[in-house]
Parts: sequence; C-alpha cells; structure tokens
Amino acid sequence: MRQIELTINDKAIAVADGTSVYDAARIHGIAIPVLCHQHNEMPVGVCRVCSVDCGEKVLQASCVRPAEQGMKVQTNSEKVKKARRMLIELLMSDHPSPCARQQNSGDCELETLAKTEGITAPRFAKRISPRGHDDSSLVISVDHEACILCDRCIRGCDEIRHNDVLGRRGKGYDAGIAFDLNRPMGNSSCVSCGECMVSCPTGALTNKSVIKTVLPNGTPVGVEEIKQLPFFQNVSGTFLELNANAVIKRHFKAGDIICREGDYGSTAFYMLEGKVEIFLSTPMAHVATGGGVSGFLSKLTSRLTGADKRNSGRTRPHAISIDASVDLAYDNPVAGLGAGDLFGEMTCMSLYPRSATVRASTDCVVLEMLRNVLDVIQRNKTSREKLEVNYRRRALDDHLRTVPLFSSLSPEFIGSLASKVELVRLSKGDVICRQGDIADAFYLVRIGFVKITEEHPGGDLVLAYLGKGGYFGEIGLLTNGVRTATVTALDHVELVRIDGKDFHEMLSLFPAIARDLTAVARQREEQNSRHMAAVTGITLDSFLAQGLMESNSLLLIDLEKCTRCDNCVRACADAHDGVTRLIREGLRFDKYLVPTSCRQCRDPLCMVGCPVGSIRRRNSLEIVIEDWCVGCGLCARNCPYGNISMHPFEVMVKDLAEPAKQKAVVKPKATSCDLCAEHAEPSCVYACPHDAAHRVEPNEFFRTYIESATADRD
Amino acid sequence: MPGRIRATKTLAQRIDREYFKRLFPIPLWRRVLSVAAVCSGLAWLGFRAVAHDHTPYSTGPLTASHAIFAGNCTACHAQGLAIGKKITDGACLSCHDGPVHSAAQTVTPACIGCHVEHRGAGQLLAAESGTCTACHSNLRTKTGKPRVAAGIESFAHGHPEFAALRDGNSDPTAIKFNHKTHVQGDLKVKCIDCHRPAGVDAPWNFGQAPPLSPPVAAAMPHGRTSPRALMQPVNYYEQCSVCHQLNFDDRISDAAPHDKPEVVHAFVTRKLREYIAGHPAELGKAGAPASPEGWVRFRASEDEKQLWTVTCNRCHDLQLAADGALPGVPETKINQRWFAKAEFDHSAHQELQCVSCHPNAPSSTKASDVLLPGIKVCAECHVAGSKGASADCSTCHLYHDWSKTRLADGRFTIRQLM
Amino acid sequence: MRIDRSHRSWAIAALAVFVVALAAYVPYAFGSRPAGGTAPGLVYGVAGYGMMVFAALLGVRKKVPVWRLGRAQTWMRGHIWFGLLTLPMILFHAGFTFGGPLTSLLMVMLFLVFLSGLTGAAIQHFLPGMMKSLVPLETIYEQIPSVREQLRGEADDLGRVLFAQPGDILAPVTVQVLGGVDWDLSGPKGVTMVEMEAEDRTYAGNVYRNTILPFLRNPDDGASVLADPDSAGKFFEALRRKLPAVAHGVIVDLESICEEERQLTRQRRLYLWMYGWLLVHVPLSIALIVLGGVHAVVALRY
Repeated sequence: MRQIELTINDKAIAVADGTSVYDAARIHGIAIPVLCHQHNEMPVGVCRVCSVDCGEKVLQASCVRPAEQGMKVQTNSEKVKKARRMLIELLMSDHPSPCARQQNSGDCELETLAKTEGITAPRFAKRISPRGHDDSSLVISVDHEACILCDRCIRGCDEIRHNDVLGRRGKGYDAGIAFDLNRPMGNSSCVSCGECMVSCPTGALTNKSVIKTVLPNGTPVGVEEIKQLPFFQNVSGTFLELNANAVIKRHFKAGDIICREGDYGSTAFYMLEGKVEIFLSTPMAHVATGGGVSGFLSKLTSRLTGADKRNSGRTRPHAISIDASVDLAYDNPVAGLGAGDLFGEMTCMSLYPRSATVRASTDCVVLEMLRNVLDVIQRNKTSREKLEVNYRRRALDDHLRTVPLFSSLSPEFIGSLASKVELVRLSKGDVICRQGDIADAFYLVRIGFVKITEEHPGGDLVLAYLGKGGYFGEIGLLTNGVRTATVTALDHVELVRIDGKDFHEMLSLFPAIARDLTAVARQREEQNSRHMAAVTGITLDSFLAQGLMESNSLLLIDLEKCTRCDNCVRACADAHDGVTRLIREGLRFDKYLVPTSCRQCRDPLCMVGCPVGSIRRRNSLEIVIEDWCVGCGLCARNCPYGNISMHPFEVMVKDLAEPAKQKAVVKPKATSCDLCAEHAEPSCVYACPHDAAHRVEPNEFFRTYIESATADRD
Repeated sequence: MPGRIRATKTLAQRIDREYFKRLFPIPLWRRVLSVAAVCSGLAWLGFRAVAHDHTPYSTGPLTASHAIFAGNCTACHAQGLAIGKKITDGACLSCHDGPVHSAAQTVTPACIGCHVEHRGAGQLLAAESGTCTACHSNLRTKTGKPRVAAGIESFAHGHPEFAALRDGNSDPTAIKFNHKTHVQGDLKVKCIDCHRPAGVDAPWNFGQAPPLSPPVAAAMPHGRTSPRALMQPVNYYEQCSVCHQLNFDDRISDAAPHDKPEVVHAFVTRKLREYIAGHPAELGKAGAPASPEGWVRFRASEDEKQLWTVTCNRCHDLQLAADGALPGVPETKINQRWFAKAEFDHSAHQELQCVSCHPNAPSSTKASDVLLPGIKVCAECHVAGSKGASADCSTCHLYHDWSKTRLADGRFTIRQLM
Repeated sequence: MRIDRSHRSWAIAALAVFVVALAAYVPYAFGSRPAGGTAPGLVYGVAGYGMMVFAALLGVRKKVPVWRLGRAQTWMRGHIWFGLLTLPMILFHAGFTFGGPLTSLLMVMLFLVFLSGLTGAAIQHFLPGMMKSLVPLETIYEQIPSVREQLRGEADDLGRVLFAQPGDILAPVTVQVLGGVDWDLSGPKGVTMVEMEAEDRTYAGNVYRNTILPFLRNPDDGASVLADPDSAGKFFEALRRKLPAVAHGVIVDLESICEEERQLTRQRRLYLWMYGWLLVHVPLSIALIVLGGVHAVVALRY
C-alpha cells in the first residue's frame, strides 16, 4: 500500500493511497463535521457538510474526495466555515426543530451541529408542501419533515442489511425516502431490523417504542420475564429492552381464533401453554357461481357431460404445507400444536399471508412477536437448536415423505436420514448453489421461496419457483455431479440439506428410487430444454414493455376479426362453473388485443409467496390454482397483468363461534386461466365464431414481426 | 409524464367480472322481437283457423268460379293421402263431368294433371300441349294400332294433314257448282255474298229477302260459346235464288218452289190450272189439248221436262225416270263440318280475307274440290312461341269426349257449398 | 367474421351445390310448371328448410360453447355460406312465384332475412377493423356506463387537485376495482395539491364545473365544446396557457379523460351498427322457421 503525504490544517500527515480526505483527517485526530457520512457505509457526498478546502477552485466533499500527494487541506478556514454555516442554516430552515430525536434523546446530529455553529433562527422560509408522517410501521416512526435526504438509511438497508427496502422518490421539494414503491412503511417489505433508524442522523426515523405504541391486544412482557423462558435464554437483553414492545403475551380462551387463514400479518406466535387446533376453514372446492342467463344450461350440461373434468389427471397431494411445523393432510386438513411450538414464521419473516386458521382448543398463553425478535431468536444458537429439535421430531419425517420419491423408504431409513440432515438458514438474495458448481447436496425447502434459474445469453431464465415442500438438487447429484441451475433465496428461507454422501447411500440401498429419480430428472431436463429453446434472445421494446416476451403462451384477440360478441368470455365461464378467467380488456400489440388471461410467464411471479402452495405449475405449461386456495390474494397482487382475480363466493362453513351450526360467508378464491388443459383446445378459442381468438407461443408467432422490426432497426 | 397510466391490470380491474351474465338492451330486444314475431305470426294463423278460414295456406288465387271455396281447402284437398295425390278425381267429379277421352287410351291422367288451380283468376281449362303430347307423341292404345297419328310432337312436328285433304278425299256433295264462273267471271260474286257465319240475321245479296228459312244455328259443340263458329250452310233461297230463278212457263210469272219434285209438280199443275181457268182462249191452240185437264197435263209435262232437264239439272244431277214419273234427286250432302275431331271458329279469323286461307276457291271449277285449307295454311300463324297464334293442342282439340257427357244432376245444397 | 382466403373451400362447396341445384332446376322448370308440391319442388323445399334450420342452430351452438360439437367458427362459416344457399333453394322450390298469403309472407321474410344477413356479414367484415383504428381506448361495451362513472370519479379527484383550497383534505385518486377483492393500488394516502394563486384556483374550478363536468356527465351530448377533438384540443390549450405550469400535468390528464370519453361515445355508435341489424335478422329468421314449418306441415297434409 503506497503512502502519500499531504497537509491538513497545516499539519503534515501520511496516509495510505486511496484514503479519503475525511478518513485521513479522522485518523490523525482532526474532526470534520459530517451528516450523510457514516463510517460503515459507502460515502456518497450528498450533504456537503464535510466540505473542505483542498486548494482547488471549489470546496471538496472530504468524505468522497480521495487524498492526493501534496494536497493542502483546510478544514476550518473562513471560507469553509462560511460554506458550512450556510449549509446548516439551509438545512435547519426546513427542519422541524426540535425534532423527535432531539426531544427524546437530545442528539439529533443536525441540531447539534446547528447549535455548535450558533445557528438558532434560520433566515429562510420553510418549504410549503409538507411531506408528511408515516406511522404505519409498528416499530419505527417516520417523520419525512425531519429527513435531510442524507441517504444513510438507504445505505444501511441496502449495504448493511441487504433488505433493499428503502429508496428515493420524487424531485425537488417533493423528494423523500420511500419504502418499496412508496408504500407506507408498515405495508412495505421492511423487516423492522432497525438499521435505518440507527443510521438516521435526525429524527426522521425514530424508534416507536420511544413514542409508546404497543402491539395491540396483549400485555407487554417484561425483559426479565422473557429472559426466564428457555427459548429466549441467550437473546441479548439490551435488544429486548430496546424492543420491549416487540413481544407481547396474549391469553386466549378455548375456542378463540388466534389467527385466520388469508389474513395479512407480521407476527409469529410462540406457544407457552395450552393446545391449539390448526386447520383450513376454506372448503376444498373450485369457485363456482350459478345464475345468469346460461346458469341453468350450465348446470344441465355439467350434469350431462359428466363430473368435473378438471379433476381428472390432477394428482392429489398427500399434504398441504403450511407455516408451522406440521403439514395438513389433504383429506383431513386438521392438526394440533402445543407448548413450545412456533407458528407463523413465514408471515413474520416474509410478510406472507397466514396459511391456516389457528384456534385455541384449550385456554392458551402465547407470545406474539415481531420479526426483529424472531430474527434474533433464529440467529441465536440455543433457540435455534430448540426449534430444530422440534422440527426434526415433528415434521421432518412427514416432510421427507412428501417428496414422492421418498415415500417408499423404510421408517428406519427415514429415521437415520432425519438425524443426518442439516437445517440451513438463508436471507433474501442468498445463493444456495450456482450453475456449474459441484453438486454435493440435496435440498428440501422448509419455509420460504427459492428461485431456480438457468443462465442464458439473453438473460437468466426462471425455471421454477419452489416453496415449502419443494425439493431440488437431485439432478446434479444424479448426473455428472454439476449443478444445472442456480438457486437463489427470494426471502427468508430455511432448507433441509441432505449431504451427497447420504443421498448416494440411499440410492444404492433403494434402486427403485434411483430409477424414479432418473426418470424425473430426465423429465425436468426435457422441460428445461424446451423452455430454453423458446427463448430467442431478440428483444424489442414494446414487446418487452408489455411483458409479452416473458410469456410462454399468449391469448391474442385479432381486433380486425373480433366482433366483441363475448362468446369467448361466456365459453370460459361455462367451462369453469360460471366464473370467467378471461376479460376482454388489456393493452394492444399491433392489431391484437392481449386480454387478461394467464400468460404462463416464464418467470411466474404469481407463484411466489403462496402460503399454502396452491398455485403451482404442473409438468405442462399451465399454471393451476388448486382447490385449497385460502383466498389471501397475494398471487393476484403479484401478477403484473391482473390475470388472477379474486372471486368471491358464498359458501356454508362451520360457524367457528358455534361449531354445531353452519353459516354463509363470502370467501374469495383466486381464479386464473388454466388453458383448459382437459380439452384439446382452450374453450375461448374453440368458441370464437369469428376466428379471432388464438393462443400462441409469442416468440414463434411474432417471429416475422420481430424479424422485420429488427431488420428495420438494423 | 402525468399520472394516468394504462396498464393491463388497472384496465381489467375496471371491469365487473359478471357483466356478461346480464341481459343488455340489444340481446333483450332480440329475444322480445323474436317472441313477438313468432307470436304474431301464429296468432294470425290461429285467428284464421278459429274462423275456419284456411285462406292463408292457399298457394295462389283460385279461378273465379272456385273462389267460393277459397276458405275451405277440404272441398278439393283430401288429408292423409300420399304426396301429389291429395286432389282426387273424385273431388273434381263431385261437381264436374269429365267424360273419357277414348276408350282405347292406356293411361288416364288425373284431372289435376291438366287442370291446375291456384294460378290466378283466369282459365282453368287451358292445359298445355305437354299434357297431350305426353301420350300422343308415342301413342299406344289398348286395342293395338292407334287410329290417329301416333307421333305428334307438336302442331309443327308430326301433326298429320287434315283428314279431308288426305288420301284423295274429295267433297262428297252431289251439287254441281263452279266457283270460278261465279267469282272470277263477269259476275264477281264475293265470298261473303254466299258464305256467312251461322246465326247472322241479315239480308242476302243474292237471296230472297226475307229469307224463307230461319237462320240455322249449327249444332254447337260443348265448349264453344260463339254461335258463329261454323258457317251458315248454303241454301238455294238465301244464296242462289235471285239469279237462279225457277221459272217454268212464259205464261206464269211465278217461279217454281225449290223443293221436292212432288211439290214442284203440284205447284206447276196448280198454277197451270189457275191460268187456263183464267185464260180459256188458250185451249186447243197450237195443238194443245182442248180440255183444261188435258191442257194442264200437256203443259205440265212440257214445263217439267224443261225443269228436270235444264233448270234443275243445272245444279242437281237428277235421275230421270223414263216413264214420266218424277225424277229422283240425289242427296245434296253439303258438308257442314269438315273437322270431325277439332274445333274451328270462323269468327276468330274474321279479320282475314277469305282467300288468304282458301286460295283455291276462286279458281275451283268443280264442286268436288275440297276447298278446306291445308295444315300448312294454319301453321303459318299457329306457331309455337309468343310470336304466333296459339299452337297448343287445346286451341283446336278437346280432350273430353262430350258426346258421352252425363246429365247434370247437382248434389249440393247452397249451405254445403258455402 | 372477416371473409378472407380461408373461406375458399366453403365458397367453392356452396357454389358447387348452387350449380348442381341450378342444373337440376333448368330442365325441370322448362319441362312442366314448377311448383312446391312436385317432387323436385319438395326436394328443394326440404333442402332449403334444412339449410335454414342449420343456420338457426348457430344460435343454439353459441349457447353451449363448451360442448365439443365442432368449432364455433366452423358453424359460423357454414351459417354464412349455406345460409346464402337458402334463397336460391327456396326460389327453386317456389318456382319463382310468391303463392298465397302465407307463402308470400314467408318469401318476403326470407328476402329480409337474407338481405339483413348479407348486410350483417358486410358489417362484421369491415367494422371490427374500423373499431380497432377509430377507438384505440376501447373498453367493453356493456361496461361503458360503469367505466364512465369511474372516469368521472377520476376526473373529480383530479379536478379537486386543481381547485382545492389549502387545508382541504383531499381523498386520494382511487381506481375502482370491480374485479374481485378491492385492492388499493394507489399507493400512499394523500395527494399533493397543485400550488397556484387563489384566482387561478377559482378559474380552474369554474372551468371544471361549467364545461368539463357537464361533458363528463353527458358525454354523448354533441353540443359541448369537448365533444369535438379539435375544439377540445383548443380548449385545453387555452386552459394550459391560462394556468401556471404546475397545473399542466393535471390538465393533460383531464384532457386524456375527455378523449377517452369521446372514444367511448364513438365505440357505442360503432357497436350499435355492429349488432343493430340482428334485431331484424334474428326475430324474422325464427319466425321464418316456425311459420315455414307450419307451411310445410299444412302443405303436406293437404
């Protein structure tokens, strides 16, 4: 490391080449005031408070300016001081002095600086349009008025925590920080880790517990009481202090509902005492509506044409994966949990909707906690071990058995395998394995979602999304031992890892499994190569902008032939118990209307996050929503084209308050186009009298269009 | 960029998922109008049916004479029979008579084969030639060889020459007559001076007025409405008497009657007796007998000799008796009708000159000449197609043999008909 | 249906049937008097009626779109091409005469159905393309009132942004969601007011209430200055000149809302053309089949 020499405030110093002026000064005991710079974050030089005179025409922001050989730096000259004062005065003019932080702890960095500089009454007028407050988060209070746009929070969230929640929005006086796409903080993907709050120099982001809000419906738990629990044994007491209201104790009587399937939430539950029943209350049925002009005829035809054909060829799963350490059997989706069990992890960590309804069977005491607490617990070794033991004991066997290939293994082998597996935790963005790596393990997904992608010159191709109960890694182990795809965690993911050695041992003991696995592997390979073949690598703006390139199968309506007669919509409704999956609205491409009908995207965003895994893709293209959908609506929200709609339907369910009775409730279920897989042709195409509706593979279909357009461009 | 973004998702979410199940104005009105149209159609038929009026189902207006049955289809149509056989002959024969055409015909067509109703208020009788030539173009009979020409395709093809002109037939008349001397000689007698359609009551140029016999209406065949179809038979008093006087004696101015020889003889003797009674001085003169009876006898035989051999013989070829008995007069056999099996109506042809159809008449010297025009003359005008006179078979021929018609004995009451 | 090359085989088949029928008709007509009751006449009648029934079955087929009875477009092509043959068949059946009251009525109805069908085929050949070009902002016809209501809501929200007074609590611009659960896609609550002088605000408010709002309430009114694209363009241009630049974004949005309203009016008109002729075609054809059946039964009975 080369050393360079420079002078700061007439003091000669030597530092390593590449050091910033600020760091150079700091190392040698000279303090330069900063606002946007934090030593554990990349400097960005936005506030300019650290400006110093480096002997150049303009002042330099010392946090970003690298020190150079022979530089003469003045950090406190009149020129610098004047500039600094002006900056602070300008910042103070918009600052709601005293801000929350200043009020509570008296250490708002801006106000401290202002006091140091002797600025009490800024001469400039405050900004006119307010940027507002955001009280939606349970943990952190956002006061946009106090924000000086230093971006420390953004960098903290991105660089330090890799949560990538914060960003900038707006311009000029309208500029500010934003969570996700400018959502309220509480509705965003913020995980309440507190890094932004810690980074913020002013009172823009403050700990809400300072302002005394609590998780509703429970009693706050004292730190001592929490620390008594074996589960929380080694959790940092200070952390618990700071987040005193992030854990509450709740009491439930027998019969109370603790949480409902489909609801959104952000907390996990740890049972202290009592027993609960966990089940799906939404009936296992496809949504159907009667009525309308063709209602009678549909009923008649469905009777005449036989039973619901859509169920033929669908493999019923053995169990439905939910967000707890048990799975629910398809035929009788009820299970029980007791003291020491944790449920609601996925909802808490990744904000997915609740996957099942939990009702207290006896009087219960549970701890409800926010993500930061759960996160800490999961990082903590002791609590982690307890969680894993619980999982191994209760769920691992069943989980292994949900993999169809392992269902025929002997219980002893499963038992021995269970003791050898490893539970792996991953955060969002972590890469589990890369394409080309040596394959050394087989994985089951315990919670969360992973993305499987294949590298391709035109961009990565998403092969699949896997949620709880999914498994991967067998192809690499079976073939020549190299990973055929990259697997990335999309959110908080926990995997069950089976080492390669144990895997091969299993295969040698059970050759039938080896055969089956080989067949599955070949099938997957064929599928993947089919998908690959479909990608041409030519990109076009409007084609891309509508996402048409991303689809495997587009329904197009030729507007020069379509007479807007709605026969397609009626046919779709007829084929799906009166609920249409097709709406003749959407954007146009060339002379075609691209209506809202599932596009079988190569990157099916809809599949990410389903709490009960009911939206999935079979071996052919179509994405299906199984009949145990709980109606949370996440897939509908995720689909960028609005192709999934939540259809309300009335159903008689057991009255949860009085189990003996039934009552009618309106429940939504997600519906989407399934390409009418049981017929040779989709019903809408079949029923169009004017030859206007066609399902096409867009790259093939538009090949001539693309070719001529690119030819024009070239 | 201002805030309105068009995205598939936002566009689709504006739409109600159940919109297509509701009935909007145009489909609603389609249904309403369909029901209205069908109901009004059925209502119309229903009202008519209730009133026992079947006129809606008629396939065309009836002829005027059948219009009385317009609302009652079963008057002619029978239900339940095979298609094409619903109108039985019996239905027609309950009011009409349709005598058989020929006992020898192998096929008897049904009434409706030729008489087609529901074609409008015109003639029901007119049958097209096709119905006749169906048999007559290749005629077969029960008795073997047909008696009429067997290969008649149309008037122009296959229709034989008229029977009177065939095979050396001649006019059978016993009268001696020379058209040429009358028409082309100094006399310049016109055709119409002697020939006229029957039934015309007007004086004759060369006949005695008033005519001694009432006008003769020729026997009218069924179906011909005009009494002037045939020509008035030629007789002495109307056409000949002015020039061909039957004077027999200078002394007596009266002419003898054109009658049988007995009548003439009686007339002559009467007149002579009257004369000699008034002129007794003539008795015994110039070798004549002196007695009045003898004189009368003598003069009568002289006069009758003149009559029998000269005057009457001019036209009649008398058979003289040798012994002074009265001569025999051969039957005159003047033919009234030349067409046995066809109809001809002179009044329909009255615009033509007589000689344009009868060109041989002015130059005919013998009474045995058949002056009937041949088929070629008729065929000049009677040409099939729109530019000629009708050449249909039914223009001249009848199907039904009306000589065998049964007597009219109506069966229905007025109420039954209505 | 757009009549294009893919119809060739149907057209040829129909033409072949017509030629055969014609070839059979000529000797029959010139031989004897052609009438419905004769053997050839009955054949033509049955053929014609059969084709009419087949054509009418298209309506039934559309009611059971999912049943695999043959693709809807096959039925449609059959309907068009064999529907064309009904007229010659019935004319041959009738021997080019009208007959009595019922049969004359049937013939008139047949002509009307035939002509309306031809018109409709032409309309449905040309109009979809026209709709595509003339109405880029098309929506679903039956939902036009509902969409218009939503546009009015959107315009109201935008309008209020223009002329709300400081201190007014503005509701966010909401997009009404009818498809399923009500998702709030609009983002944060609270909308930034446009900063303008009070007099501009009043002016904007008056313009909105006097011109824009009446037009949005009654978009089919041709008298409004906003009903014609050119005059509307001038109107909004003038408004932009009058109000400060901060308001221009909102004005552009209002202008685009008005444009969408105009296009929806145009769409309504085109749609009525597209389907209006069916009000003649369908009722008459159903009546034709019913009464034709009556005719057939009665004529065969008597």
